[in-house]
Amino acid sequence: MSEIFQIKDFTLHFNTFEGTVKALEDVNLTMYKGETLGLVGETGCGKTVTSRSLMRLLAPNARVLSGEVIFDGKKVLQLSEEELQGIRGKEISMVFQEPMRALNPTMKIGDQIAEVVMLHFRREMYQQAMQMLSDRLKRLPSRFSLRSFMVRIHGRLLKFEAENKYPDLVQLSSILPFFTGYKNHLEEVVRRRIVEMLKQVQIPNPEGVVDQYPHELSGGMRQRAMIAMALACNPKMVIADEPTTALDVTVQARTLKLMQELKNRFNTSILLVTHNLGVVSEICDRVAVMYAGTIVEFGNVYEIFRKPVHPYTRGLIEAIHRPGDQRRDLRVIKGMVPSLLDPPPGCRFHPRCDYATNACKAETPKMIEIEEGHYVACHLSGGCGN
Amino acid sequence: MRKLTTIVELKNVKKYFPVVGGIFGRKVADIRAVDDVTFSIRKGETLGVVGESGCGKSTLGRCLLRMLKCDGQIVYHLTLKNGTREKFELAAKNVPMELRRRIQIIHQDPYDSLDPRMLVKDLVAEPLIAHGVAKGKELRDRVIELLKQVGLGEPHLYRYPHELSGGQLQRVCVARAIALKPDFLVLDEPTSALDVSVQAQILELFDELQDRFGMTYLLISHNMAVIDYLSDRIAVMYLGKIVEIAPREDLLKAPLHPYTQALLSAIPSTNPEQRALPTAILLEGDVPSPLNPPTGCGFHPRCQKVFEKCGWEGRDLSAYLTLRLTPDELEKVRMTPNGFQLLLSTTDSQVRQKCRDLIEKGRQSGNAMFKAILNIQEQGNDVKVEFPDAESVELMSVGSDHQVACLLYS
Repeated sequence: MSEIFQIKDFTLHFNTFEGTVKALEDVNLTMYKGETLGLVGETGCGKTVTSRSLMRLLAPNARVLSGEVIFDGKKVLQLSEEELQGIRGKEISMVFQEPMRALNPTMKIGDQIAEVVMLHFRREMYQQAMQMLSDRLKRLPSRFSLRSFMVRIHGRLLKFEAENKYPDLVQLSSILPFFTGYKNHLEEVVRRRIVEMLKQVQIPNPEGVVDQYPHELSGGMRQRAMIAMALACNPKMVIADEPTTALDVTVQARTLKLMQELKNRFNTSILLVTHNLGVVSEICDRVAVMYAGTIVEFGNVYEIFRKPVHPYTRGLIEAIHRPGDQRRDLRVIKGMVPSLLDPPPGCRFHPRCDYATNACKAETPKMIEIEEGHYVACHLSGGCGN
Repeated sequence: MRKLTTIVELKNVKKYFPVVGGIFGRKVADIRAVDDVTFSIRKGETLGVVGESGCGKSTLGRCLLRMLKCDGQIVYHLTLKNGTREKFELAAKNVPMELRRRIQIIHQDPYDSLDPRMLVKDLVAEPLIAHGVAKGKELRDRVIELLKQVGLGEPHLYRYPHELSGGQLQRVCVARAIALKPDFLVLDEPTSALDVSVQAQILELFDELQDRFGMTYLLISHNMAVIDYLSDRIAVMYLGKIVEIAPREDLLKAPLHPYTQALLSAIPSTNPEQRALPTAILLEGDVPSPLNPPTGCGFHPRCQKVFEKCGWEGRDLSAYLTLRLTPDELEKVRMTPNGFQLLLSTTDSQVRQKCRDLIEKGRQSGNAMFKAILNIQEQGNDVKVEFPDAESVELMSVGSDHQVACLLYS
């Protein structure tokens, strides 16, 4: 299995008026092609920042202190803006938490997806439209007096195409009488592709939905439209940032199942950012647990749920009540998430940890591989509690 | 066993929101948020109301406090200080002060439900002052005592809401709600704005307060884990109606209503070795609009276990045909559902034949909807399909304390 991305010793701070927010500290994360990786943690633990730094979508006040982010062999932190635009949306796309906020309320669903398609597949779309035009030209009767003239203009248009002057192509074709059809062909080509995408995400009546506005759809349908948009460019990786948090359970189940199916069909990888451990255990292969800007535990989802090692992971898993279980006292993690303006020294979890020792207060624990593929950053790793 | 005295009784409670239209703002339709709900809550228990967004569970909670006017009867049976039991009817024009202080609510989002310009001490003191319970030094002591009861303390007195975390804010809300020692508390999604570890803390707090003060809760949530943790009985709502109500164990072990079964099967498992997704019952389509809910059982268009009697109507058949005809064919045919009838009119005999074939095929495949069809008439260009009138679907007892609204069990 080859890696799709690697984050190495990544430390990221934000300069704010209140001081330096130490958002990420020595984050190490690797994801392989074709897997679903879960990134779990509470609000403000840095999971969203981690996922965004893969595309270098960072606020202007962000400061990278150390580390590297490598996506598909490219050093993301050193790329130019243009090169990044080729990655954003095309190779890595995102599904956001609230589809109502992520979709433009003033644009039809079809137009919004068309934007993505036209941005990244302009050439393919133009070529297809051109092809349709050529076909139409061929069907003209050979005695048609303007035929030779048309063919000449068509040749000119093809030249434009070869020179990548697409805007000229559209402009020219829209003033020439016969070639106005070109624009319609283009619209038709794009529309066909969008309908195809909407069908893939199991939206009933896709031809109708193309012309609808986001508010006309239900939450689940909107989220599916978002997924269609994310997959429009056949990305290498999809970042799903809390994709089902705004949805009801039954809709969530359908959406998760759909994501799983699409992942296999499109042969992509999913980075699932969520706070919901249930969702993680349902669809993830591996999981990374984050706490206050650090990754505390990382490994196979079965391992982590069967025997969590880090006290925080254990706390998280024990804090969920499973319906149908005997009612028991919830093991509550006391206290709250620390402010990242002034995180505790040493292990950032030690003020809330039941097993904290003096070493925890003084030294930052290193990531240790306790079993194959199971990493923990805890001074007591392997020996805490049991 | 605990003595089962009722604290609040609901009879045929309905809340229809009018939809107005036209230049005179005439009422053109109703949104049936809560549609004929009858149940009662026993003293000291927690009744969980679970359902998906838009099913009317929050509206129900608000009706219980008369934050919204509703039709039907809501009667509280409260024990007064001198030990006598008194009946308060909530339908009365003025809700007595005595009742007001005994029923309280905790809202979903503590960030929104607290005034950002008030100090914590004022926020907690507000109900005490409004009801003239305490003042001066006594008031301050009372506020500190309340804060301590919810796990906060004196250091938080002079803080503004924005200085506190979500969990702490929710504790302030709890302190406000229990300030007047209520008998009955509506918890409207009390933990959904909070993080997992904080959720657990707040749930424990509710549990502890109930043990200490013997309060009765109506817990409204879409999160089955939360409902399950606190509730003694669980009511499942769908489209403004209660479809199943049963003690916690019964509902979880043997859910009877197909919607409850689907809901429970969709809950993500937290054990990756026993994933719920592969066996989850996936519901087709979306929740129908409460503006014009389906006839008969509201769940029948999405139900897995439908049969003839579920209340099929013209709309169901037209939806079925719409999905199976091509866009061109759809343009040529006009479908007018009218209650339990569907009128198909088309001048194109081929399309008409295709519709008839589809219906015939459906009948042969044993589809429940087609089994329900009473008769099909062909008159000129029209085809008229008739369904029988729907049976009313009421909650009925199916076991001790277990009620379900599904015709499968009648």
